[in-house]
Amino acid sequence: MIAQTSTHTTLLTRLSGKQDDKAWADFCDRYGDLIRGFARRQGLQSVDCDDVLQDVLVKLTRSMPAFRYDPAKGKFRSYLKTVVLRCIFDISFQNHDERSVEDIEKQVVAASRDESVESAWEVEWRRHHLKRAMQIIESEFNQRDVASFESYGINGVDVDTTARTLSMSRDQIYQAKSRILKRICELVSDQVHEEG
Amino acid sequence: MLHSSRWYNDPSSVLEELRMERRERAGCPAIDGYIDVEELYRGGQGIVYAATQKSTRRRVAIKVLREGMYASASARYRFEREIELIAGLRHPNIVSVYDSGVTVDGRLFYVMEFVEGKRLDHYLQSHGADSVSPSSKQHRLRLFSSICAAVNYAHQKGVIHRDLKPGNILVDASGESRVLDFGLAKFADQAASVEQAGQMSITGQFMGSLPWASPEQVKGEHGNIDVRTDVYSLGVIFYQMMTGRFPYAVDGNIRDVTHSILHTDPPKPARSKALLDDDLFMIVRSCMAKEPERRYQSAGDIVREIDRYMAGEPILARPPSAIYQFSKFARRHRAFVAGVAISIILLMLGVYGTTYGLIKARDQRDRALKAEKRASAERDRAIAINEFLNDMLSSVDPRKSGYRVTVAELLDQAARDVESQFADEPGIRSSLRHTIGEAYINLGLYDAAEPLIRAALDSRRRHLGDSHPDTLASIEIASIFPSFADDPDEAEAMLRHVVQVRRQSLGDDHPLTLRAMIRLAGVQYAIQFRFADAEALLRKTCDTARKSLGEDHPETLRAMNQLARVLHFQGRLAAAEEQMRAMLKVCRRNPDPEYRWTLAALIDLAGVLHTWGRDSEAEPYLREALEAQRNVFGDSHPNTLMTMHCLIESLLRLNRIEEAERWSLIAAGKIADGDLNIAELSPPRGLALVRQAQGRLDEAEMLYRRVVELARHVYGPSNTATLRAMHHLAVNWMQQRRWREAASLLSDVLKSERNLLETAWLRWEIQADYGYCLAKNGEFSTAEPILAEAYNELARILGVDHPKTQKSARYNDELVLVSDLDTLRSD
Repeated sequence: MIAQTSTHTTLLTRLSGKQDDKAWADFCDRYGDLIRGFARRQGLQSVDCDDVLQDVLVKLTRSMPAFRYDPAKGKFRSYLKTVVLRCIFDISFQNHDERSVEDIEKQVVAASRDESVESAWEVEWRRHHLKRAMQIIESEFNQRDVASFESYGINGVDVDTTARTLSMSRDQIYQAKSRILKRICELVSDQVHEEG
Repeated sequence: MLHSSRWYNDPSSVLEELRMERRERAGCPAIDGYIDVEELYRGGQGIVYAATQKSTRRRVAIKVLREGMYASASARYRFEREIELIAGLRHPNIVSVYDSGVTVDGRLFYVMEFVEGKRLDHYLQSHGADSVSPSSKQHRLRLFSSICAAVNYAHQKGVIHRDLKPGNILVDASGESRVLDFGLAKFADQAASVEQAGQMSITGQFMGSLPWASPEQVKGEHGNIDVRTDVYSLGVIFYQMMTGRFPYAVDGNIRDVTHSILHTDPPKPARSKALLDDDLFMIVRSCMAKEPERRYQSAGDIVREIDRYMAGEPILARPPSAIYQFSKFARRHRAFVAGVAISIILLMLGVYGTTYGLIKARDQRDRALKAEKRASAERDRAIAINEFLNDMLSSVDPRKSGYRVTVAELLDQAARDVESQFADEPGIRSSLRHTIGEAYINLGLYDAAEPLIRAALDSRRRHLGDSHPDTLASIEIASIFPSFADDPDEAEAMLRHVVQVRRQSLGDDHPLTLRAMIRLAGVQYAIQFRFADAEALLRKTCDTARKSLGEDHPETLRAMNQLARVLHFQGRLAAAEEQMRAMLKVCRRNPDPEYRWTLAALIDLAGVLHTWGRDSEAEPYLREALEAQRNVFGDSHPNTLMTMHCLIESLLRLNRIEEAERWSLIAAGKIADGDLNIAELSPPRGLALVRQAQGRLDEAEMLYRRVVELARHVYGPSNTATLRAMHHLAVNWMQQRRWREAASLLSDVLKSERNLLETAWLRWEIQADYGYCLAKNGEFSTAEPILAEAYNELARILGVDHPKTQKSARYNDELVLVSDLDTLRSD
């Protein structure tokens, strides 16, 4: 059961074509948190994080050959990471001249190899996948099961309290947790597979 | 965990991710007493929130440290102790810490002053990284100085920062700096389990803290981290502030960056591009020395250096040279300088000795306080000396003309005043004796210099010990007197000592160490005549200097110059020429504002060409040098006179006797009667050469006799200069066919064989003349082996085609001819 109506590749194709407000909104919806969260982790203020998101979109949309995503050439994950890093550096070093453009280029390369940067990117990337998976979970499972998963599975509320609050049996709670978790794993696996 | 590629296949990993995300999204846990909490910044160490303190209504920043790092109770205790210490820091350029504690969910936090500002690097970027306007430079210097002052203050309170970088420095709207996160890197360090380099970048922010880490941090020598670790990081920050770049590549992998920190010196930026001129670059180098003991010993030292720089005063990080000191002085006192220029150059010299010392104090507080105290003693000394200089200079009567008169008066008066005014202050007295002695030396007034230099050396040895930097400086300068030690080996031993101490305290590639090595080589070839040893030492010095200081650094040029001379004196003319030309090329390629090294290269290259008999090639170099010297020093300066003499010799070789005569008369007109010193031998000698070439042998003889007399008086009877003069007189007698007298004189000269080793061929040249005189005197059997040996040696050293070898060959031929005739006659 594949819920996604558009893969990221078709989304990008739509973005890089004519103005497509829907594509724009879809992209923000799908990658906004990832990009903002990562920028934030790199020390940017929240206003700047919004700017980064916008810049990333512009860069993906404009016909900049260097930024054209070619699935044959590598993973989308690292492609997007590089684009975002470049935008972060651009924002951080405004008023740059020719020399600092060259410096930014170097720093992007350096940062994309930096382990701490990669860790931050990986954290945000996982959250991105989990968020998308959770959205689907919410449409696939009934509200009470999802709530029990949130309460008992994620927030660490003990099983009896959760059972009492949601009027569920302990077995139901255990079952819901197991099924939802299994489904999340499948969904993320699909997403990662599709991502290429 | 983060790097397992199939994390999503493991339900417990997925669950853990979801839980972490939820915790982070929950944001800043409630902290008692603070409201309106909102996230400001998310970094490697933790998250910073803005909040309002309920009791005071003031805006604060709260840093909540990463969880899971401070598990143990003792670690938590230490953290709180540390925060107490940091909370005690009250400085306008340090972000104040108000409060600290543990959040409900067990994370450590501290509350600090809220600063509306930008990170230093972002601030500089937004103010134009490449702006080289003076105002921008001044502003950056002031900004950096304020950062150093803050760090120095913390050091005096016993707090080391350990993680200084632009990200930890804020600049507020009015352009004032604020340093934050003092001492906290310690906890990051403790949390990290070795492989520090890697860990540092994981706990660090964007690029990690690695580019600003000191060698001792990168090596994981936590026991060696002290205030000088911060000094190193300040050096990196300063380099960035002034050039917009890192001092080494930081875009490789961690191993590459680490290697750079351990082994790469900051490169000198292109002159036109950066705000970092020579002096500021020296300051960077002194901050970023690989060994802590070679750095500035405190951040306060940096503040004072920047102050000195901004006031146009000489900085300490630089080996003082007369011209350098003078150029600084001249810039500040343009109007005054013209009159008494030369004297001041010399007097400024040596006043600011290098103050690098080794402070072994383990306790950081002691270290910082001690450095302060030392600096204040230095300051007192400098003030006393400056006052003395001012008094002395104002006593000079400006109506008297002629710099020699003025300088002589000035120095003589100074030498007297020093003895009376500073009788009870041996330190200052020694400094001034040393300074005035150097001034005399620079004027070529060696006789006057020697007792002062000796007295300074003796006193410094007694009061400061053999290894004090000031004593070393005195030994170094004293080594130029041939008689400064009882024997050549003692002279060498003393200079070896200088080299050794400086190596240990300053490192192998410090300019002062290199200069001592050059002086040591000087003793080896000029006093001990150990050419091969001197050559090896100079080659090594040359390489080191070129690598660590750059091809145009004065010590590199000095080493190249001396190496060329050693090659020249050994008769290795092709190698010497090559070396000289290389040096000249460097001098021409780089600015040489004082023209000092260009002059040395021109004159020495001409010297090699002259020895080789290529005088027509030598001539243009000599003329260029002479023109410059006449402009800079005037006609009467010993250096100018010496170059005139060289030109005269070359012109005579080229048979341009009239021109030579003109020059020799100019030179001779410049000697004042009664002036006896090294260079003043050259005018009568030049004129004597000319008269000899003109066949006016009587006049030439008189002049040569005078030169011999002067030389004996100045140098003593068996000095090389005296022996050379005697040789010249003998040659004159040979031309007068006074063979017996000439032979007798040359025989005396050859008795001091040891002193004829100045150049490898001098002794054999004289021996050839001696043999010829003997032969002409009819003593063929004695003459023959003497002449043969001389010819063979000259041919070996200078080659068979050299004019000196050829002359010796003619002697041999003539001897064979004459002795054959004689044999025929006796048959």
